[in-house]
Amino acid sequence: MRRETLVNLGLALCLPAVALTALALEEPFTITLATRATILALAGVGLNIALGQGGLVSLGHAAFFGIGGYAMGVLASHAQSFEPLMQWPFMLEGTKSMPVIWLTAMLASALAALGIGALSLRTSGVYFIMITLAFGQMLYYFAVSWPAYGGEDGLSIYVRNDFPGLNTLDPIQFFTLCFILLAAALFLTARIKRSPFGMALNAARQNPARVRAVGIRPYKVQLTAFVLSGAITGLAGALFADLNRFISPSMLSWHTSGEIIIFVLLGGVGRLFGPVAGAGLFLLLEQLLGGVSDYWQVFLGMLLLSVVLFARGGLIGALAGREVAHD
Amino acid sequence: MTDPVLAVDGVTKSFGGLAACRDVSLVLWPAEIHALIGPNGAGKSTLIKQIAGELKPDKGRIHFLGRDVTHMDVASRARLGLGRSFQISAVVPEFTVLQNVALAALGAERSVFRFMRAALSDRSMIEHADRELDRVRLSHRRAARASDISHGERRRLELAMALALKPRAFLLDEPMAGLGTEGGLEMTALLSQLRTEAPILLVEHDMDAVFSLADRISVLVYGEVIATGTVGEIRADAKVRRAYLGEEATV
Repeated sequence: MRRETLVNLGLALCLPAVALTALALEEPFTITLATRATILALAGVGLNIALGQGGLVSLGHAAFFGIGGYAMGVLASHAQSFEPLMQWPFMLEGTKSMPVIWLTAMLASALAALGIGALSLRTSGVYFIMITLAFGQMLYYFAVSWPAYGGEDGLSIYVRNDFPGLNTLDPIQFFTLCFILLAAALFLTARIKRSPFGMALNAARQNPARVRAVGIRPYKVQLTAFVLSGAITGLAGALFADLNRFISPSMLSWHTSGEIIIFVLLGGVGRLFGPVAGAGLFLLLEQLLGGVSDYWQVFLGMLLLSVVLFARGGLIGALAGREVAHD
Repeated sequence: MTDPVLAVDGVTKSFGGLAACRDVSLVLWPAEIHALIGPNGAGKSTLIKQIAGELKPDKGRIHFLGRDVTHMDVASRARLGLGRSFQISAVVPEFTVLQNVALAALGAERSVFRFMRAALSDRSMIEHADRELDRVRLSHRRAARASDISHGERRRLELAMALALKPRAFLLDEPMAGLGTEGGLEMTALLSQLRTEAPILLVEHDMDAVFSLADRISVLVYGEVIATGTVGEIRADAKVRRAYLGEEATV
């Protein structure tokens, strides 16, 4: 077995190991922490398709994270107030069902990614970064000024949404749900990476002119990747909202975009388990250093700096070495 | 009479006040190697880019396989069967040699939008890619990263990628550049075999290669075709001697 596979396997087992240990020690807070790491890793897995495989530095992924969160908030708030979402042209009720909320969140963020991507991908480099940032901030200010769902103050959902056959308020059961979704997303990303589509996406990052010359349009490939990426990050947003039972515009702010990028960078850009390692490390630092100083992000900054300067492969790169060309 | 594979008809392209191509017309017939020569700055690259689809001509039309492709983009022309090599080697550096050729095969088969099966588990596609690698004698390097192989090998890899498109015409931009004497001879031998596969429009500075390979030659000077003809005709042409080969030159 290759070293990276072993490292990945170890990382995959880390999260449930932490959650189960916490369960045995009756520390629900730690289970919630592991759940948060899982959900943030999922957001990073989404971004990693665009950023890692496609080389598309999106500073607007908070838009999809937030849209996923608001999809959950809107549906659940109507369900808890028993007011239909709309009555014309057809009756649409709110819902507390997780599967329905997940699908809505993914669909809504995929649509947003289609629109944002279709325009942003006409640019590249710094312009792409700025235009995705601009779209993200547009949505942020929209949410701030939209009173129907709490505006600036955000919106509380009193009871966590339901999943058939599970008690989602039990931390370990909710963790398991999130972990299964993360595993599914990782499986999907691994398959995509080796697929013809993944090959074209990776090639388009490295040499778009060559890709065109063999009859493939980079734009179409990258837009598809951007939509997939947005949908997965949107799903993570819905789960994050459910974890906190709270949504607010801060989910849409560019800080959130930056944090998701940090997960990917810390873990290793383009590495399958990079976001898992990155999100895990980020929360670990937050817990360990956050207790020492309110300014713990200074240390995070130094760590990031050293990753960018000395360890381009991030944590996965440090543990498993340079990525081998797969065949 | 057969139809031309590629026909450039009155193509004009200016950048600001500078006319890079002025009313350029040339024709590529089946099974021929048509060389395009000219001093630096004559507009060869501009012409190649317009034929490939990277640049749109200001005036004139380009027909490929009887279809007007003037307004088609690069990818569409590649799909029609325009196999291309670049002046400066363009491969996918992080991919292996085999993956590079497989990418071209994917483009040719238009099977890019598949998400779940590993690209390299497609037997027939890999066999196809390996066949092309074998033809350019690069099979022994199939597992090497494209960034690690030598310049000459990268040149041949580009050729294999063009071949994997199952092209109806080759557009080769200085395939001999930087190859040295031995590499140049090897490439010359390779290209003369390709002629049977599809006609070649060859931009080249290496005159030995041009004179030994080309069926016909077009000479481009200051954006204009000043002569088109067989090797013998071009060698004898007074205008060409004056403008390009130098007054004193004996070729």
